[in-house]
Amino acid sequence: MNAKSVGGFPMKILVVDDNKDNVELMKQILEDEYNLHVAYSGEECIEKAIAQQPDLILLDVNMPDMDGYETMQKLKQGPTTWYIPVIFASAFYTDSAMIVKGLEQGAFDYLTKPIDEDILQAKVRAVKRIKRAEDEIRHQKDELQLINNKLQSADKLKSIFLASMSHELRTPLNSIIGFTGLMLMQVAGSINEQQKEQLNRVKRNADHLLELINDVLDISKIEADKVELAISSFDICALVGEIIQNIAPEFEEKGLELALNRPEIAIMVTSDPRRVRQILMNFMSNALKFTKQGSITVELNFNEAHQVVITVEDTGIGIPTENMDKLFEPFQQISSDLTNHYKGTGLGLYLCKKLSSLIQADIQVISEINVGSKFTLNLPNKIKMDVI
Amino acid sequence: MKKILIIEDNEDNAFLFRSLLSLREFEIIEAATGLDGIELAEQNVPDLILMDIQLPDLNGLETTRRIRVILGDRVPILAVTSYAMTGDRERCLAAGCTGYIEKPIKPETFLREIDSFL
Repeated sequence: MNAKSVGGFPMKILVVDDNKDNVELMKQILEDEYNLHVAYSGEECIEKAIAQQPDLILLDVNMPDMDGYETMQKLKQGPTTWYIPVIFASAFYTDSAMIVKGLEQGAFDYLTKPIDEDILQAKVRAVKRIKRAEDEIRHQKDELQLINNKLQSADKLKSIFLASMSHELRTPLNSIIGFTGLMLMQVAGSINEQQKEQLNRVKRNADHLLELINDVLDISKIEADKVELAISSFDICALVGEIIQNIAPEFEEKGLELALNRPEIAIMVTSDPRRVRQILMNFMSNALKFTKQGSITVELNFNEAHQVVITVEDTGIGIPTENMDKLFEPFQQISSDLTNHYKGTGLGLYLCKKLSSLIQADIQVISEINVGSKFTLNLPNKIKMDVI
Repeated sequence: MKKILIIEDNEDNAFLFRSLLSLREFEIIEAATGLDGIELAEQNVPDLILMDIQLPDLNGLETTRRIRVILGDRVPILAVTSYAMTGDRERCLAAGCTGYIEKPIKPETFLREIDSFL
């Protein structure tokens, strides 16, 4: 059935009646306006309904062999006929129970004989209106399906594009970071302090660019559901200690105090250590970035829900209350004048949030302007494998 | 003098590896394609191979497999690649690489990593 059959062409009606006179009467009433087909039995009705796909079937109830009810039942079960509206017509079964039976079986409406010409015309027009609306909906559904397909392939293309961009961007960065590092090593001759400072800035910016590429790549993988977790059992205390050891020189350089409070035992957790490290590194580098003076305190503890609780608390600039809910959205580093001051990808916390939900952990923040921020990671001590 | 074969199609990156390796007494051999790399590996039997993965003809994984067929397991092959997605390291190791260094490389630690395989 196509949409044009109603819009552009006269509606196709199949008249089913074993009585030739009744058929002739229907013809007289409908022939001028509609494209009429005729069947003289239930069997013929089903054959023609399948072959010709009429827009409406006018079905006599009282026929020998297969009566109207049985015919309608077969039509409603047929994969290519169930949706064709049926109006049944009968002189004998006009009590309400019989009419209800027909409607319950799926008839659109009923007519009583002798046929009233105006009522017949009006009911056919009602079917026509509904069909037009149905065709419109079907048309829109097709269009939506098409748009949906396009979106899906665009999304896939985006992921492929990001993965290949990441590769292409890393290759020139290899030269930039490599040669800068090589010059800073002063193996081809010494450089003065000013040149060293200039090269250090090249290096810092190249490192920042690399971080951005890595974040974008991670996010694109998460959004494409392509992150594979590498679950293992590890000592979270050792991991935190290691992170602190790695980042301590940068805190020292800035004159910030860095303290770690943890129980002096190994605490084994089952999770993806790389992802845990990524989240905690983000907390740490934020604390470093947004704290001018004072201290950063890292604490490791448990809660009642068998979670390992790791907090990173700084004495930094804090986060305005009105910006708290934007904190975990991409490219939302608070206030533009700060962004100039505090370089970041604007993706860090967004990535943290995505990663934490992957490893079934959650993140909490409390913050006060000019007092500091406290980021908490609640990490389940054992990841539930069946949910991954 | 230890022989190191660099298989890398990007001249800038090859120059970077050359510059870093020149800080030591190495004999350096270079190829810019997988097929040339295999030929040089067979002729020279280097002490270590630095293998880029994206190469114009054979990729580094296939090049590694073929070199392994010719030279067996005795030569360490280090993949040096910008393919840094999950599973890339595993793919390199499965193809027969001994180690995996992610690009961009860290010049400060690069030589130490090379040394650990010699």
